[in-house]
Amino acid sequence: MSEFKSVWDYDALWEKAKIYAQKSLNEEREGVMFPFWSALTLEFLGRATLAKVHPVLLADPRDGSNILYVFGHIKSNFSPKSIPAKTVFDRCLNIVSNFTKKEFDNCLALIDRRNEELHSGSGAFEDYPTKIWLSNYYHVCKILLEFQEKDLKELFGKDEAEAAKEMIVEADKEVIKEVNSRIASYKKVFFDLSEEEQKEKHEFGKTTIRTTYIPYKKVEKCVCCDSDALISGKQISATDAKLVEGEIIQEINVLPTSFTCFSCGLKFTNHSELTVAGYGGQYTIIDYHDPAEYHGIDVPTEDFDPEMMFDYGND
Amino acid sequence: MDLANKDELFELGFRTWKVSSRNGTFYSPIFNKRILRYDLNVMQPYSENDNNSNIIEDIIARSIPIEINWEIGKTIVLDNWACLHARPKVDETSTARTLQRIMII
Repeated sequence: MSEFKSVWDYDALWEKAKIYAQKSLNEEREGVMFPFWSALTLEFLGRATLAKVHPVLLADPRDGSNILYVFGHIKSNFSPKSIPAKTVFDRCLNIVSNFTKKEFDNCLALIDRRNEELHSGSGAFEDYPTKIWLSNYYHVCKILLEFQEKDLKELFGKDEAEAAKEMIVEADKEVIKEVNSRIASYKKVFFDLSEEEQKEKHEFGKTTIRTTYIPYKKVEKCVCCDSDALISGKQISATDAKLVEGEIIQEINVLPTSFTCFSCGLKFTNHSELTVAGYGGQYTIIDYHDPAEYHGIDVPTEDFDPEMMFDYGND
Repeated sequence: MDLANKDELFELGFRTWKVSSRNGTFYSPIFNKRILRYDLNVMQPYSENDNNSNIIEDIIARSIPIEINWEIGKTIVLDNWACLHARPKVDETSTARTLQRIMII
């Protein structure tokens, strides 16, 4: 007789977690679907963690039939019921040694939004930037994966796993102190200037940003002087190029690694500092490609005669 | 799978396929915990991104298959979860094949 496998079999739950992880990574980082699929990934990762110990940990104990089901004793027309997500993470608190109340709270923060999204009319994932939750999410995933003797790349793939590792490195107290001190000192210098001088600095910052080219750039308000400031980073992944409204575009997911304000001079040079300053998370930019260049088509210009073009059709 | 390099092994364990079975559809990578599963009659990649059939096809092309020539009285025991096995192409009109199955508990 072949071994009975319940719907809470470890391999099945693990594959589901991977499927939802891949769905999440196909979404724009600051869109609503990225955190939505991430919430499902986290839930299935939690369930897989319990199933790794034994699938019976997922059975709803309020009905003994669920427990019997795990061991192959199935009533006809029986539909097994599992424990809710909150209970999954509550059990992880007991079973996974470095899964603490902090990790539990971070899981519930995401799961509660998932519930709100599915059970109410509100946009639970609107205005939910990655800088709020993504680092914590990767941190929890790492802990649950390690319990399953797996690592981040087995869930997220190599590229995203590298970015996740960089995001998980928590800023130590010295970095936090240094970043806050830097902001305070630049703030003092800037606001000691006259209003006229501050206005000139704002304008200078805006103009410089407009004329500065750096890859993967994004404009954000400066935490010190509230001018427009420039963030850039490194590419984590990119979608395949696609044709949208006659243009070839690619969505590039970026890990922010540098911040420069040309108005007050404030700078940050790594993801850890950016996270402390409130610029962590990830973002997505759209890259536009010239169709001829993208397809490697050489558009000859030597024989092109603009006079011919203007006369065309006028004979 | 000794022929596969580390990157190939990772890819074969990472990408998800849908597998149709008597008990319904389930998800599995091509290579999972020493189980090798690759049959395009019952499997399809979960998404375009999951289609890593080129990797396993490449490994198969590099391998030297062990041919079994059946004779009366010949018995072979193999772990059909750990070995990819297939028969050569047969003629459409061929009917001379009998499969018998027993289970040893």
